[in-house]
Amino acid sequence: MMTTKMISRRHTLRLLGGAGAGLMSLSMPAIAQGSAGRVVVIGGGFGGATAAKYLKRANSKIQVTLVEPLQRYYTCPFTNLHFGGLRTFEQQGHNYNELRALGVQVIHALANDVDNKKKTVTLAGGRVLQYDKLILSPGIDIRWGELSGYDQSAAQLAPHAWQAGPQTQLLKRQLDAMPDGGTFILAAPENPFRCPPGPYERVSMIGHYFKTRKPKSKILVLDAKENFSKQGLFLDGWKKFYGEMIEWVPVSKGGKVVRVDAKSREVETEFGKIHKASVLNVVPPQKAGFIADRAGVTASNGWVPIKAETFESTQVADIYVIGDATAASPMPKSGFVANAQGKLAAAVIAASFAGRPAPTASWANTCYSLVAPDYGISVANVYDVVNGKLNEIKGSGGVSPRDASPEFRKLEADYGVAWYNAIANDAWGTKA
Amino acid sequence: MDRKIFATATAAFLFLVSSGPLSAQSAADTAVLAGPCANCHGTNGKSNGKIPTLAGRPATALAAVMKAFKSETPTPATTIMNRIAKGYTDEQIEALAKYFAEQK
Repeated sequence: MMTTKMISRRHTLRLLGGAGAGLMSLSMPAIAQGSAGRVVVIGGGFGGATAAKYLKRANSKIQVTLVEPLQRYYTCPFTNLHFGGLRTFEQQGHNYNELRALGVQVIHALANDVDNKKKTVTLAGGRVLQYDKLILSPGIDIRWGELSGYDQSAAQLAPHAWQAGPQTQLLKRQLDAMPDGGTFILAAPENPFRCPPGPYERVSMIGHYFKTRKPKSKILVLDAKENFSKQGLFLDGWKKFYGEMIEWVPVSKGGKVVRVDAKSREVETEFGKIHKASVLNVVPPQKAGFIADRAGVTASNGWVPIKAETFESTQVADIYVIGDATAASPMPKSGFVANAQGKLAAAVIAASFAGRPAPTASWANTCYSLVAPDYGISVANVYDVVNGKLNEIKGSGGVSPRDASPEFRKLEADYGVAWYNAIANDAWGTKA
Repeated sequence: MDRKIFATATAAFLFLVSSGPLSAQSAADTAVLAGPCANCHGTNGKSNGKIPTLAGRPATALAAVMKAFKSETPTPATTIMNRIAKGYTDEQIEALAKYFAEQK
């Protein structure tokens, strides 16, 4: 594995300065041939699509190749509104036409392997791509089997729906088929996981669906945590809109699920209690997408450590990792943050190709959740780097006030939709 | 050296020095700072929805609004910008305001 202590490419070039053009072109073929450098981006979600676009915006001469298996990409954010009956599934779908128009080479294939010494990416089917800089935006993989009984076949009966696509559609079909008076159980994982407020927005939206269509039904959230994102706001909203319908059980009260029986739709908690669901949604333990492991950038905890200033891997030079796969606390694993990290990585790489120092890092996050159709809540934060570490700027950010007016909640519900349309346009060029 | 070329070269050099790494807020820094704004306000600050457009608005007006958000008495209809504005220094706000004023 290459280490960051290795002599940097720029330094190498400086050393080779007097050695003649022949050696130079061997050392940096892409730049010698008139391109500003070659970047391969793996993953076409919020992080990867944004990074590819902003690399081209920074310098159209950078050769950018985006590798994403899906021709149409569905986002996890806003699938909860689909469960609530407020959006169609297709409204979360995006394509890569704008990126192609910007000159990004988009390859719909799975990236199977990375050789971080030869600087190559091997695609399913054997095609090999050479890079000067690699951006990984692989999202999450499920830790199959870590939760007893929850493997890939169990997910066909008790969906996670934590990666948008067929899993989302499966959960929706199960909810639609559930008779009135049924019980929906969501098992929520320990931190860290993708989209911290996601499980709680999901039960809010399913609460709305039940209230309007199947009012005798119940919702049980079995949680492996004691606290969750925007907790006070969610609990207030549940009480206001769904009364006794939603019950949340924290870890201290026996909320942690330790075994899943997907066939009988039963879960067993740490306290030995068996709960039976009509529809069972398991949000399982997660880790960085497998390609990060292949690239040698994943740490033993399953996530990818990065240098705060640049989002370059701490383990392998010239590989930048963004989005949910990273260990970037205090930043959450959100689509907004993946997009913001993608823009930084793009700016850092463009500066590096131009021989300029990396720009000063800065990020923000905004995350809206919908509790009921006209009732939105949010959390926001601004981040910088202090002493080489990611830092939440003191005094900034926080959640919506608990005593806000109905007009305030309505505005935040509308702004949530406006956010989705804005970021989908920013990342994929999708017109609202 | 031709006098005109010399003058131009000197001006270019001075420009590079003044806008280079010595300045606290370079153009590249400001573009990075402005990056997350696009996620709600639209790419280049051009909104495609209910959230206000930033592009092409006068820098003084943009800076004044941001500073009002940051103050202890933000505009009555504020929902989230008071929480976000507190994450930026006045110098950064001025740079962002100028950046978005120049976007088309």
